[in-house]
Amino acid sequence: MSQNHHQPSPACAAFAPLLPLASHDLLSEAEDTSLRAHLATCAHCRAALADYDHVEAALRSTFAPRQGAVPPFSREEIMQILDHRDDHPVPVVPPVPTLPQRKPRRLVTRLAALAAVLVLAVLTASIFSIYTYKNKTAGPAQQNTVSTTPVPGSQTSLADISMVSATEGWAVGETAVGNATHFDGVLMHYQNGAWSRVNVSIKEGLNSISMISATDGWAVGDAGLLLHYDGQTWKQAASAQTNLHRIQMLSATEGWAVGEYTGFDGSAIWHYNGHTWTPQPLPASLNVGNQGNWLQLFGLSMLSPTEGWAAGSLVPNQPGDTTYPTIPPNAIILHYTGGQWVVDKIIQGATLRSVSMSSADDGWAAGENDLYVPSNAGEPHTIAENSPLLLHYKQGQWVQVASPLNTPDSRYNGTFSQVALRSASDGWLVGGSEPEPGPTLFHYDGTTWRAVKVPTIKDTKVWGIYNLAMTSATEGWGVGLRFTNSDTVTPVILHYLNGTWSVYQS
Amino acid sequence: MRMTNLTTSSAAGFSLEAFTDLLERCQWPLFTFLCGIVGDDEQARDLMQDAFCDAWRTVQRGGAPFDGSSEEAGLRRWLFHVAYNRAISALRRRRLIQWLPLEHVTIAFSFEDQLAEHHALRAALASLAPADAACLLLIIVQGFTAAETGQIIGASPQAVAKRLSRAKQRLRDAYLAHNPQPEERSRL
Repeated sequence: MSQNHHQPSPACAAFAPLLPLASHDLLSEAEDTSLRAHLATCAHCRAALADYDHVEAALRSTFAPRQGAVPPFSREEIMQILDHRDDHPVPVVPPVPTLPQRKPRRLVTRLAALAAVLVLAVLTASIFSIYTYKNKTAGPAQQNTVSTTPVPGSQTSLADISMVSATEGWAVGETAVGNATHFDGVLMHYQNGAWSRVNVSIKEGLNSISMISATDGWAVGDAGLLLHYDGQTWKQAASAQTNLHRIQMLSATEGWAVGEYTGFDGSAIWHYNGHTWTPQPLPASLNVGNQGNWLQLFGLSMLSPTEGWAAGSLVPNQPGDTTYPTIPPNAIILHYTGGQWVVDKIIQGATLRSVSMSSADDGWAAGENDLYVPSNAGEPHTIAENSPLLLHYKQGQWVQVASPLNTPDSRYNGTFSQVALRSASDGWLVGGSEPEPGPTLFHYDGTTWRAVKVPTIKDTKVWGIYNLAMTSATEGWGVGLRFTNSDTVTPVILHYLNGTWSVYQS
Repeated sequence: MRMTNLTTSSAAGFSLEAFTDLLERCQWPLFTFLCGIVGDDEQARDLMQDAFCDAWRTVQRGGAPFDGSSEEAGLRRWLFHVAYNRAISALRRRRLIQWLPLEHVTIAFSFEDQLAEHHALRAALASLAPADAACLLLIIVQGFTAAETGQIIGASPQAVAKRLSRAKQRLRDAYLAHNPQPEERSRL
């Protein structure tokens, strides 16, 4: 490629964005005409055009298959890949034997990393927490300190929990495979007073679970994973072809699941009628799909088969990429009423991660306000700055209320990961904020959200809770993940009993 | 092995044989595309396996575009779409798990030979936002139109054109910075 020694003229700047498109038939007739006229008189732009041709040729040459090169997979290998996963995921959990009563075991710690989008904000906050925490000296006096024994380098997290009763429940999550390039699903079962990891082969991370009874339940995960439990085994029952974030079963024959929708396959909302899962129509005004809007729903609260709410965010079509977007998402609340999903509320620059209704007239939604700032001068990437966002639904309207979770100032991040109402006067709210290394839990008594003490965990840089499952006013569970000082990620299970949260362990 | 089970046709009439034929035809373009996006050959292989499995599940389900409604071009586009989503998801996780911005992730250069030009180009490509790199690879290397590329990455053709323009400018600048000048090389 020759150095472009020709001096640009003032007019060149206007043509700079058009030059790269000249060889792709992507210019309008007017643009094409004016560019050609300019090229006829500008040696600088002619040289730049030649540079682009050279780069294109180099790109084709670099990424073209070489003549006679061995392809990535042989025909047999392809067939083996398909065979290996042909029934995948049809993971089968062996029948769970009824174990004799035993001492609670040490927490299984194969590891955890969070369902990606669900926890993006929390993890982003966690990253900063880690860095902030590194600079701190001795932390606060550690009470209720516990320790688990992580497998070095492992990454396993828990994302959601569903209790069948006070004595039986399930939790789901994911564990990194290889160099964290892939995540397998994780299932944990609580019975006989102990949580234990279920030996199962699920080739996608699990994000949410909803049990109807001890012998009937569903779990959802990435790549459309929809698993059904019949009391004996977990099996892939359907695929939604898109990452699913949340599921709620109202009965054995009525259920809903929500997730991501980019416009290619299915929908962000799926309904189960007892036989099949079907994608549901989305409000046309969302303009999801061809225009590039991307809908991601994280929260779901169905009150009945005919009424419910879903919350998440609508990511606008934007320059840059979806890994490092530059335009923040808009929080969205959808209402299922009259047999269709309609848009009830949109909040600019925000994401809602959870919604929970105590009745048709009362409910809460929680998440964060999102502000994107450049990561460094000149880099295209952005960093999200989050502040907690809390909404209350009353008298037919969603109204933003003051967040009980605060950060020292705007340099710190904070977000809510879940809100869970048992009634209009008994609710829980889970948040995380810098520079705190752990989550903050709030209880709602019908009037005020009050912070509730959480334990500390030894050998932990930062930890978080993603979902709670309360079995009564005085008992419940929470699941999440922690990063050890050596950056191993392990699951966290919290237990609430008679007013105190403690870390479950042996 | 239960190969025999797989030879049964799916709802759309796609047999394992026919589907393997399709993957054999598409695997090189998919592999090079993934290598360009994630910058790591081994990970590209893993992601391609995942994409194959996604596609096979859809075939067995008879879902679009494997419901007989699409020509091979449509199937090929869908395979790229699945591969792209897998790559973006993997990059997002790599950033989360390793706490590293993408541009600092070590790039393995085992894919091509020793040519400095190829190395410089791959390094330059790795410095782009993944969606921008995808536009470059899909349009310039794979020969997709802007509309097809938009369908694959989930963006409008206008957005694709903007990304392509920006990506080519950045690639040219990065490439010039990395690459010895051919004129100078030829004089050596």
